[in-house]
Amino acid sequence: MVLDSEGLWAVARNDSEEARAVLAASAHAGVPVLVPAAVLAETLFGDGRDARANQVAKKLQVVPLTEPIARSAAGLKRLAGMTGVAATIDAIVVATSAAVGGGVVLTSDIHDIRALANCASSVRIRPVRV
Amino acid sequence: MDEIRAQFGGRALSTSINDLLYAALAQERLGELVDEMEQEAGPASPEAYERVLAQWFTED
Repeated sequence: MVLDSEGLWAVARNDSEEARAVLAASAHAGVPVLVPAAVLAETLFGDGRDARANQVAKKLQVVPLTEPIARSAAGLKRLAGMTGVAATIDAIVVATSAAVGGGVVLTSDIHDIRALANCASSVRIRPVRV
Repeated sequence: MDEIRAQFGGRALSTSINDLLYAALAQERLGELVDEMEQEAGPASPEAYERVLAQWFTED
């Protein structure tokens, strides 16, 4: 299970039944919940507004952006015909999922995540709407 | 011990044990987070679980 920016905020705000269901199901099934470090960079403000997200991030596994994940993300972005910073972060989210064998991405943007996931042909990645 | 070493390939056993302990700690923390979220807002409804799992296990 990988969280994108909206997925992380949904968990931090705790205002989404879907987010609670996803985390509870992951905890019950022993599925790790991962947050790419790039998502933190996108999500956090760098000030006191981050308190809630920081509390949540401490309980989740933050995954560093490694060179293989970065290269994989670049390839996914090209295959999906996407450009720009937002697409880059989405591609890192999907590449992070692919690096651990696939799974689920908790997101509000299922269209773009699905488009990128469809380009990760060797693994099965499903977006779940937060 | 040989069987355990074979299971974890050529990696140092201590590294594999550290990985397992880290994974166990991460799952414990995740459980704590879920407990905190459910105490604050209540557990997700069965309908929410259905919506999530339908997307999780959807076929192409």
